[in-house]
Amino acid sequence: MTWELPSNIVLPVFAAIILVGIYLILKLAKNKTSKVTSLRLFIQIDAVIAIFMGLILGPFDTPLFLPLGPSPRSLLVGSNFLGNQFPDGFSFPVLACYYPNGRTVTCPLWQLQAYIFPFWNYPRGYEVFYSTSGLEKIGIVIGLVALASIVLGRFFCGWLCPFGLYMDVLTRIRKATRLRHLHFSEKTNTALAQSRYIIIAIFLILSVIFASYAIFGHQLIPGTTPGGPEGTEAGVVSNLNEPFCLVCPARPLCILIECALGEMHWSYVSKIVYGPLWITGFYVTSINLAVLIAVTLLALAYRRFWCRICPLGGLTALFSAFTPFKQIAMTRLNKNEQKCTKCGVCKRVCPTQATDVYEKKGGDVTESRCILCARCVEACPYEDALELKFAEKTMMKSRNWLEQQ
Amino acid sequence: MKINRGKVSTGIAIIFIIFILSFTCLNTQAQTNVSFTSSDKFSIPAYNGIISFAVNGTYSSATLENNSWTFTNLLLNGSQPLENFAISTQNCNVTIFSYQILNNTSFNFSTFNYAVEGKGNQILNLGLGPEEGGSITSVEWIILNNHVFLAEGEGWNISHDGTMIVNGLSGNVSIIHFDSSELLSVSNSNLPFYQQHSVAIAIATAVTITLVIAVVIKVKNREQPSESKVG
Repeated sequence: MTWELPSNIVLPVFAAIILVGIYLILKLAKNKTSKVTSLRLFIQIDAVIAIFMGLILGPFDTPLFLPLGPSPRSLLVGSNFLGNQFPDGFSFPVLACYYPNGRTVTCPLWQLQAYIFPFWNYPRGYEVFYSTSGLEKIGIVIGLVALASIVLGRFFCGWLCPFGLYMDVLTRIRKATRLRHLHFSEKTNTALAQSRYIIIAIFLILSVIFASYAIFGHQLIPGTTPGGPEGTEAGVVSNLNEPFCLVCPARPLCILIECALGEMHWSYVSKIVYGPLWITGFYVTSINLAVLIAVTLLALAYRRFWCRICPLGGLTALFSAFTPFKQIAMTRLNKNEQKCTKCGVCKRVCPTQATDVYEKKGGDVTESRCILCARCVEACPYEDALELKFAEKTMMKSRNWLEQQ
Repeated sequence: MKINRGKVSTGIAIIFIIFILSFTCLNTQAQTNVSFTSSDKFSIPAYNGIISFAVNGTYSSATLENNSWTFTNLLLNGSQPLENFAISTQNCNVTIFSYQILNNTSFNFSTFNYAVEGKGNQILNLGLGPEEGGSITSVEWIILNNHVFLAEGEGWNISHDGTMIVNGLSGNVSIIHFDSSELLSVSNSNLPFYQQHSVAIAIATAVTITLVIAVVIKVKNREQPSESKVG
């Protein structure tokens, strides 16, 4: 059974959200730092709506292709540009699935895998003016991710990613039950951070192996010819063309939202299309669900658990927290050595257990684990000791809340 | 009162010619387009099946061969024409609603909607050509039964000549044909270089501008503290 958002309330809902947002920002603007968590939650919710409703103005009740649901890209704001030039959506470093409808932005991990295979040399995906080769498509995805990372870095993870919001909601649930969170040892936490790059490497290598027929002209694994008839070995293996997506924990949640919005019909997801037992449906696999359950349980114990191992976060960090990009990253966390008393509050409140903010003497303390959530800026009790900067302009800074109390 | 025989005979001749011509035209029309109404039934006695249409429409010819009705140029009111359409139904009655082509997107979709009374089999061929093989599948078929998605094998199968066999479904059935072959055949090799690579060029320009701005901000920020120290 699918609940569909009636078309006549879409615009009022959008209008109400914008008005509430303007009101909250104006209200919180005087002392933003003390309300960072609330402001962030509000922006996260807005981002989820914008990402999944894809700036669609509606109507939501004009089905184009029933299994995939209504609201095609032609209803998007700016569809001439988005629809024609970027039919797969912009690469945007947040875990938001590529799905047939309502997508203005797309997870770059999906695009990287999909453009390796099966869209290597076919004009599927990006259309007409963008169909020369798989390498060019991949180059464009990397370019967009680099662009986004240089400008905002892992701010995407902390403030915009829908799965990041899910992690925060789990933290709130744990807090509501008055349970204390657990800590990883520094060694384990570092290993988890490093594992992100191993995950990326494994899945990209798998993509290339499955795409060998498309790229090299011969199959490294039998039956990996793209687009074999459904139900046949080739059809089954071609379903592996996005190996990371088959295990991604965000996928079931994305589908849940799409179905709730009426953008996709649940039966299209829940039906068994391909043979193997580990595939429970066309989009969601049993591995997806198992990983989601595991990540949910771990996130209840460890704050922002997924963000510590998220390969997309790792990719974003690659273009913002490592040399040479670190030198020019525009969004960063700065520490004033003279104002810091080494009280350690920043280290304790950090949801990903980033340590540079505490251990580094001063200056830029942004590291690959830092999701720029500004929780440390909010909690730091010393005036100007920590600052969240964008293009060298201070956006938020810590304040002496001990004296204010 | 004098009767002008010449005028009368001319008038009669004209009326006769018009009558003959109109009759011929009507006859010709009947040969090319036969109208039917929603009350007309097309039965297949050997299979205990009846086919009817929910709306009025026309066809060029309708023949029953091998327990299958074949319609040419079938046009239902409010639908698109089906050039060659064959349908057979066994132990159930079928009411055909519409055939719609939606080609306003990157892909061409066509939907064929009908309702089934009873639990039997239907064999349909929409005349959309054989399923394409080759290196990439550009044609997909999907069936919705009472708005529930059914994968191939779940009550339906399609053969390589595009004949669809539907077994045991009742209620509303939608056959959806999804064709991306037109998109796959798009070639931009004739376009100028900058148009072929317009997105790549735009992204490269944006990345370059961002890098330059980021470096300028960085350099400017480094200069400012040193200037203040000197001052």
